[in-house]
Amino acid sequence: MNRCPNCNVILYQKNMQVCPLCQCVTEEVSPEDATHVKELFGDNAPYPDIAKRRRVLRFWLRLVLFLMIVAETILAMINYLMPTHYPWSVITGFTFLYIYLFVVYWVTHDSGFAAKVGLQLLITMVFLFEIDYWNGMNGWSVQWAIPGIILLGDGIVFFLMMLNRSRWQSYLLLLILMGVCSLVILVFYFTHVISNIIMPLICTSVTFLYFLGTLLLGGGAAGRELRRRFHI
Amino acid sequence: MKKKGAGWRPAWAKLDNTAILFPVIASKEMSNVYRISATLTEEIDGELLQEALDILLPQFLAFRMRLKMGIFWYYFEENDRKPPRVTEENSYPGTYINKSMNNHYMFRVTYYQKRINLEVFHALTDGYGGLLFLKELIYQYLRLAHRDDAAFAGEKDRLSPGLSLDQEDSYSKNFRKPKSADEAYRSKRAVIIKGERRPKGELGVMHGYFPLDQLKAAAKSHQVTINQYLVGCFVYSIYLEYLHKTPTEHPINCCVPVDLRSYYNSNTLRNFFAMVAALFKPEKDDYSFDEVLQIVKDSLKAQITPENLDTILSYNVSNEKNMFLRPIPIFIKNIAIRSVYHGIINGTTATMTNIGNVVLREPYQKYVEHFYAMLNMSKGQDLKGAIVSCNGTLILTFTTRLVDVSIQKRFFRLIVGDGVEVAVETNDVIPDEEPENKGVRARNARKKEKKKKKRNNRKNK
Repeated sequence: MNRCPNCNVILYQKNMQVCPLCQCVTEEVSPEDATHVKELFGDNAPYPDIAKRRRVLRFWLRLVLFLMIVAETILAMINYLMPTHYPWSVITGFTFLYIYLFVVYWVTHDSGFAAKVGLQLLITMVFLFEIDYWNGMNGWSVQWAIPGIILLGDGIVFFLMMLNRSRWQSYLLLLILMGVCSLVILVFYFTHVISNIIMPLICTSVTFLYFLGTLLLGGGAAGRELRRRFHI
Repeated sequence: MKKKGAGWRPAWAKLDNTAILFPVIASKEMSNVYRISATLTEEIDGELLQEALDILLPQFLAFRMRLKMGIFWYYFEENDRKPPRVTEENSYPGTYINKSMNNHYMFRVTYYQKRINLEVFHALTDGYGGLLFLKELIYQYLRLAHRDDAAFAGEKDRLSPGLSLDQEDSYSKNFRKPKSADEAYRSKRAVIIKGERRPKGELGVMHGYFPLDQLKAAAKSHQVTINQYLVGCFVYSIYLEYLHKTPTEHPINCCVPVDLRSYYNSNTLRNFFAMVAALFKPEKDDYSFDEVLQIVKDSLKAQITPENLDTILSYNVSNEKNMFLRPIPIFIKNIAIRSVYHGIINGTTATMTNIGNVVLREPYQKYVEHFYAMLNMSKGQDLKGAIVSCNGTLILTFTTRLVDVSIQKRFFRLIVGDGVEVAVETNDVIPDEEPENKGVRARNARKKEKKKKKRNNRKNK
């Protein structure tokens, strides 16, 4: 046990040669003083040597980002130098962005599984819409692809509910999100943005029947979950 | 923990008024996780500690909660997963608790040598609740560790008799419509302590040990309470070491959380505290220590009154009760709360909290040596202090992200100057320390040694 002659404080840690307060060289206390301090304060409580966590994960994420930027720059240059005026490098750019956001969100964010799946599905819909937009907005994204994603979402919810049967009601919000998305697609039909009602109708009815089924068959658990999630 | 049957209805609770803020602003840089530790007179056995937690958690609903996100608010729902794993300490105090890991629990229990650490996400409960949980955990642990001891013969695997498990939202219960729209907190800019920071993720810990009777005498000689004395020393140290006695436009604002339970006759295990501020605005060139102590004393005394605490409580809760704000979707609320929070972070210089004196029931008291409390950093506050006393020793723990420790140095020297014996300990690991205290390899060796001992004991039996 040592003492700092400048600060006049006892330094509890063993072999503390330098005072942590004033960086002055310490002196060893006499055995009598050490006994007195021990009687006065009891034992000290040292800390472990926290091994610095290697930021391997962050490094890999940065490396992926860097490689994507390099690849996109090369693709943009090729696109510019090619005789065609079709901006296909924008699509690849969005693809890289999508993949990166996907990786970052799943690896680093602490939200629940349902929230992650929900956001991922939303990002996918936006991504598909963007591709359609940059290709002259033929409407295939809202007509076919996004309803397909909604149906995929319904399937994922079913899978998750079966997988985690004791907490199946946790995925109800995801189902509601799919319901809202399918309603938006239906609105697109009635506002003549899309012309074919088959896929919007299928995804809307599947989602709503599925939701209704969970409410009726789920009993009190579904109602309780919704009351809690929507409490104001 | 037993898996619940098909008809099980998990309990749930809305977040209390203070807790609403924490999930929104929590991040790896600002975890809102505090630590309360206790050192025993014996080495901790990790397996026994796990067993103690397994016994305790099913009886403690307040901690058996997971955080969930609703459409308008966050809320707590009962968690039926296994208790979190007790591990040997392997990170800095108060590191972020990921709500999707740790079996979805919002607290963690670790140990190192003779110390048990409880780290709690502040949304769950304040220091009062954390301390109660840690005390019960220690009781269970010691009961298991000394099952053959006659002194523990009457002890059961139940919570202590008389322990209140009340989980009411005391903020809402004691809310009265504010008489005026006047703000209880005026978020004026305060002195912000800046400096070179430690590497990201690192937290400097410095414990100061003081004999309670000597500290009491020192405080009495200045005609202040111990709390006022320590806060006053802290403010004066900032004035000397950071402001170098220069008058400033902004005051030093040291936040002091006040436990509201005694004012409102509450025993809730959930958060129930209010923040008051020890304000000192240097307007002339040189203030003496006693002058600053008197200013701090007057500032705290004026604010810690039932009327003022009532005003603070009512003002805080009034926003939550606002009928127009409540139905706003959570993602918009989060943006608003974050921006309001970032707007007021410049209003606080530091925080000093006092958990009080810890008394354990018999026959446990003699097996526990010290209690410690630690706060993690917030935006704008890179230095905080937490006080707790036990067995006649008061321990003040400074936690900091800054490299410079001149404020702490001045603080301890001031107290030494008043005739108090002071011992200091940090979380720095000294290279010359005995090998058993060092590194992962040594830790694994210790674990192996323990296992070997156990195996031998079993063989002998």
